Order: sequence, then structure tokens, then C-alpha cells
Amino acid sequence: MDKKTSVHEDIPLFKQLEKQHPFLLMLYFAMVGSGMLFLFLLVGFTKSLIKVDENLLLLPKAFVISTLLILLSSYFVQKAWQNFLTDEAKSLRQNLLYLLILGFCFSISQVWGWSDLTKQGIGFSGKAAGSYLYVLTGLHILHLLGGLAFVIAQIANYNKACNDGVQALIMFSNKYEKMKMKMLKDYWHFLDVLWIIIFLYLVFKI
Amino acid sequence: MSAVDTQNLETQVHHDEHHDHEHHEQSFIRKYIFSEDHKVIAKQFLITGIFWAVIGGVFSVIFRLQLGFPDANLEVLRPILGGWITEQGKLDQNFYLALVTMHGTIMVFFVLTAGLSGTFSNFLIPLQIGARDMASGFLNMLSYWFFFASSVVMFASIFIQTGPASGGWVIYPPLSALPKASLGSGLGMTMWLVSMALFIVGSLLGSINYVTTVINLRTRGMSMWRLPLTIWAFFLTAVIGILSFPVLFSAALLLIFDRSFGTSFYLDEIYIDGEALHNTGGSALLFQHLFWFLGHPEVYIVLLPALGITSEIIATNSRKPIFGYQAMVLSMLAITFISFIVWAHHMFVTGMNPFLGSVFMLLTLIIAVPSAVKSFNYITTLWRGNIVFTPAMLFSIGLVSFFISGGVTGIALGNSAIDIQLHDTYFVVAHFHLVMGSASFFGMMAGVYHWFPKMFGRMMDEKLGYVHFWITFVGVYFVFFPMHYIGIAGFPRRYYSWTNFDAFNMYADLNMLISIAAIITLSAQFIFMFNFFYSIFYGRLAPLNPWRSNTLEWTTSRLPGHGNWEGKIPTVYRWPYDYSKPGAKEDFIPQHIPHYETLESNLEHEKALEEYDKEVAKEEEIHISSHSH
Repeated sequence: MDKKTSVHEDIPLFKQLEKQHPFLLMLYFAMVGSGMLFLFLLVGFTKSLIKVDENLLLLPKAFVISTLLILLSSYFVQKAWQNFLTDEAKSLRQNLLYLLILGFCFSISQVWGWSDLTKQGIGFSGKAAGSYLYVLTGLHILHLLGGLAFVIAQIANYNKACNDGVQALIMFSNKYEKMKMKMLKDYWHFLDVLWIIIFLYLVFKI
Repeated sequence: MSAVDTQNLETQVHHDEHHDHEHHEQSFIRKYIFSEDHKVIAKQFLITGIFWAVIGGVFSVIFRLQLGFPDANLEVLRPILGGWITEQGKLDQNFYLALVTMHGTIMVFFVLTAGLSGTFSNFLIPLQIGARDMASGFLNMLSYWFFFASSVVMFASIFIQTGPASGGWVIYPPLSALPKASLGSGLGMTMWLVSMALFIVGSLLGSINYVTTVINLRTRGMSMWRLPLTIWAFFLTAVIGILSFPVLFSAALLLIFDRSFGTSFYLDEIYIDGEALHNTGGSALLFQHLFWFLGHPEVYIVLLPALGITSEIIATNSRKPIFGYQAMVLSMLAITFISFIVWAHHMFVTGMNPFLGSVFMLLTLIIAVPSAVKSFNYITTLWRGNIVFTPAMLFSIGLVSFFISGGVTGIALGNSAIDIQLHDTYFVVAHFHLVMGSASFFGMMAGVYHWFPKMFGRMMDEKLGYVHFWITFVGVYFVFFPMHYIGIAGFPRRYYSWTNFDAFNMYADLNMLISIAAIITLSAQFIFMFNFFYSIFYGRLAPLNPWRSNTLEWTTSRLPGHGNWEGKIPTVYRWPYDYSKPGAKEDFIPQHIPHYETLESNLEHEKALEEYDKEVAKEEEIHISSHSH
């Protein structure tokens, strides 16, 4: 009972977490949950590889393009974050617009990858190993579409700030707005890293 | 006495924050149906849980009728079950399987996950950590309504013509993956999967909220080491949920694809009527891995909240500090961690590598260590305490009893060699019904009796509570203890009848005894239900702190409104287990009493806190007055 009453705790990471806005923390935990989902799909995929010929699966070229696109989009979301910190409403909106376009292009490129897969004879309802490629990418796109909805909401949000200096001032000094932007940035990087991990795993496993 | 003083002081000083939450009367719909208030959501979870518990309990009695009285004519049930009673007056065999499956699903997920964790995490987290509400009231509301939608789908599946899912609550493919495989593998299984997908979403929304609330919204002074053990338990339960439910989601998702979109994630080289199916390349065993990666932690999702509730109730009603607070927390942390690396002990007989089996066996047996620490700590807390036998206390002690007697058989079952004989027998049924089913159920009951005054502002009837406890406690042992013997004899679970096996005839009496005990135990639950619903409206008005307890929820008004505390949120100065402190005026010192008010009972190392608490109190006051000007 003696030490319990000590006044200070020294868990630095925990202290940091405590200081975050709850919504941000919730996003992080949701990302952990999503991560588990993808992790176990990758485990299932690995197991299913035992039952297929080595050269049955070919990685569609479109997936390489997607990878470049999402890397580029992560660059723009980082720039948008910088813009928020330096109060540049116009370029902030501009960068979010690029992000939106790249996000859509990424999704289209993924779907294009699916048609490549089908052409190779790897259908959704074929061998299990092939089906995993669809499920992994499909769930990732779903996650990404959620992010895109958020981007659209943010663009609409910053439209006001672009035309009105007072609005901009209010917005950029608002802690809640900053947290929202940080949520967007972190979530987008999560999507990026998630895809890169899936992509690299596929490259080395196929 | 000092408690009363500070409370008065606080209400005098802090009138100013009232403007936050005094006006705006909410409409009926916002207040009771689509409510974002954690207390209302908790009650919604509780009442939905009770509804499901009745259904799950009645189901078990119906299949116990078949097991205990295989020759009986069940024609009386025709008005309820209709076509599921055959022309000979027997229970339909397909429906028997459906009953077993639904009993498991309902009890594990809808009663003990949603009903227990959903109720008490929601109700107690904000109240005990000193928060106005959950981190996100909206997501919290969404969490309940996802659960509600999931309930509606599951409930509807009971009434469809082909019956609900019937492949066991573990829904192993290929039985569950091929709609043709059995009657319940058709529409019933589809609805099961849809319902579970919704359930998982709701559960995740809840868990994320609980974890964030505990980390972010604790009141001043409420360090992690001053949290009541209930909160630690809910916190770790939610962490387990976040890590394991997504895995069940992936398992269910792949199964949905297999059933409806022609994929073969779990299917490989299957023949029906001599004809090969097109599915190749899947693995049925993969499902078991995915399922049990959730399934085993799920045991602790169900059990940990009950253990937390018990810690709190036993300490309060023994009038003693909980024995080994830190050991309790660390053992819960250990259970949380180990729960993720033992799942394959459910799969010893799937043909896994015996070496792998021995690894999982070792890890499984290690769980006995933190579990034993908890058991010892409960018993040593009771040791020489001034025990007050409230109904909640009795149910808590009952939990400890089940936890031990069910846990001991777990040590036997965890051995991969013994499991070859005992796998899927009634020994397993007896083990998990005691250690996880009954123990968690008793934790839930203890929680209801203990926090009913805070939930509804009234007391439940104690005498009815005692009757409820003793019938249930004795009944549970009469139901599950004989099952050990039947299991050792080799009775397989989920079988419709054993009358074809001569070897098992000598156990007919024992089965009958179990069934009679089950009927009596279920009947006793209606005493509780009457007590519960009657007391909501007509119970004796509850005093502010009926159990003379230390935690923060008892510093609120009799029926706390939106925002929980009318004035300022209390500051916390001590841990929650200062019961019977030597020298203290009362045998309890609530958490919000600063050390400078309890000079007579402060221990040597707490002298430094007297000054510190004074400064904290002063700062808080400055903070308040700067607000009001």
C-alpha cells in the first residue's frame, strides 16, 4: 500500500497520450483495430500460398502505379499540414484538392489492378490465394474512401477561410480545427503505410 | 462525517458551473431512446441483456428437457415451438442443434459481452473516474444501436422457417460455409453472420470509447494507480476487444464471401453427393485459428469485468482494503497479455504438431498463475473482515467459488494429452460454464445488486435477493458439477440423444437431475426479474451512499442527471480502498477526502500529502473563482 500513494507517475508515453484530444486517441485505437484486421488477412493469405503453384500469381503493374500515387498523396497531406501551421488557407485548400484527386486515382488504379488480375485468370471466386488479393485491396479502398469523405468535408470547411481573412484567423487559431487536420494527416499516413506494407509483402511473397 | 463536510463545502463553493447543464429539457426520444448519456445507454444495454438472457436461458431448458427426459412427450410446447415438435411429440433434431447454437451465441455475445461489459463499462467508467460523460457520446449511442440492430437480426433469425444457425456457436466451416450442409446453414447462418458483423462494429465503437475515456478524462488526482479495480478491468477488457474483435470480423467476412460470392477461403476439395464443388485452395483450419484468436480472449472479455466488479464489492463489504491492489492490476495485465497466446488449446485435436501443442499447453497453464493470484487476493481480502452480506456480496463470493472450482478443471483440460479424451465432452461444458459462464453471470448479478441504487435511485429488496442467490448458487452446482462425471465417462457435447449407447444408460438419472436443477435455477431468475422491475418503480428510496463505499459515483446526487455532478467534479486525493483505516473516525474514507482532513489516520508516508493536498485544493478553488468572474 505504501508506494501507491505516490503522487507522480512516470510513464512518458502514457503522459503524452493523456494530453491528446480524445478523438485523436480514438482514431489511433481504431487504426490499431484495422491493423489487426489486415494482419490476420495477410496471415490467411500466407497460408493459402501453400496450395497454389509458385508462378500462378502475378502482381498487376497497376499496383506499382498505385503505390507511387499514394506515396505522392502522402506528400501532399504533409504539405497541407504545413500550410495549416503557417496559416496559408489557399495553398492548404489546393493541396487537399491534389490529395483528393490522387486518392481517387489510387482507387481507380486499384480497380484497374483487379481487371489485370481477372485477365490473368485470377478471379475473385477462384483459388483462395487470389481471392485474398481482392479482399486485401478492397478493404483498403474502403478505408481510403472513408478518408476521402473526410478530405471533402475539410475542403468545404476551408472554402470559407479562403475568402475571408477573419474566418481564416478563427480557423487557424482553433485547437479543435488543428486536431481535425492532424487526424486527417495521421489517418492518411496510416493508409499509406498500410498499403506499402501490403504491397511489399505481396512483392516478396509472390 | 468528513465526507459530508466536504460535500457541503463543494456545493457551496461551486455553484457557478451550473450553467453548463441546467437548462434545455430534452425530448423523450433524445432522453430515453437516442440518448448520448452514458447512464441511459448503460441501462439500455442492461435491459436488452436481460431480454436476451431470458431467451438464452429458456433455450437451455428446452434442450435440457430433451437430454434429461428423452422419452417425454413435449406436445405441451407445440403452441410455442409449432412445427419444431415432431408428430411423435419429440423435439425436432435440427432445432435441437439450433437451440444449442443459439444458447451459446446469445449467452457469450449478447448477454455476457454486451449485457455485462456494455452495461457496467458505460455506467461506471465516467462515474468512477470523475468524468461528465464518455469521450464521445455520439459514438457511444451508435455503439448501442449497432448492438440493437444486431439483436433484431439475430432475434428475427429464430423465427424463420429453416431455423436459426445450428452449427454450434463456433460456426466451423465447411458446415457453416455450405448452405446445403444442414438446415441451419442456410438463411439462419447468413443472418447469424450479418448480426455478428453488426455486433462487432458496435462492440469496437464501445471499446474505443472506453479506452479513450479512461486515458483522457480522469479527474484531477485520479492517477492510474488510484483507479478502482473495476475501471482497470473495464479498461483491459476494452483493450482486448480492440485487438481481438477485428480478427473475428475478418473471419466472418471471409465466411460471408465463401457463402455468397463463391470464394473458397475455407473450402477445399469438397464433395456433395459424389460431385466435386468448384472450391479449391482454402483451409477450414484457418477459420478455427481466426475464430479462436478472438474466441479465447473473448473468455476474458466476458470474465474480466466480472472480476473487477467483484474486487470492488468484496473490498467494500469486507470493510477492508483490497488485498494486493498492485498484484490485482498486474495479474489482470498478465491475463490480458497471455489471453492472446493460448488460442490453440481449443485445437489440440485438429491434428496440430504435438510440439506446437506442448507450447500452447505451457502457455495455457501459465494463465493459472495470475488467476490464482486473484483468487488468493479475494480470499485474503475476506479474511477477518467485517463482512456485510448484501446480495451483491453473496454473488461476489459465489463468483470466487465458481472461479476456483471451474478453474481447477481448466488446469486438467489445458493438458494436450488429457484433452484427447476430454475434448468436446461434457467435461468441457462443465468447465467453461463454471469458470466463465456462471462466474461472469454472478459478477453481472453482483453488479446489478450493488449499483442498482445509483442506476435507479431505489433499493432492490434484499430478502428476494437472498432467495435468488441461494437457489441460483446451489442450482448452478447441481447443474454443472455432475457434468464432470458424465464428461469423464465420454459423453460428447451437442448430441441429441444417447439412448442408442448402452454404456451411457447408467447416467440417465444424473442427466435427469441436471435438467431438474436447470429448470429450478432458471425459475429463480424470475424472482430476480420481478425484484428488478418492481424496485425500479416501487423500491425503497436509496440513500446517497448505501454501501458506505469510497468511490466517486457515491458523491453524486441520488439520481445523477446529465453531466453526473451538479457542481464541480470532485478532485481525488487517495486510492479507493481506505476501509477501516486505523484511527479514522469512520470505517471508510472516500476518494475525494484530502489528507489534511484526516490527520488522525494518516500513515507516516502520507504526512507529505497533507501539504500537497492543501495546495491542490487551493489551486482548484482559484481555478473556480477565476471562472466565475
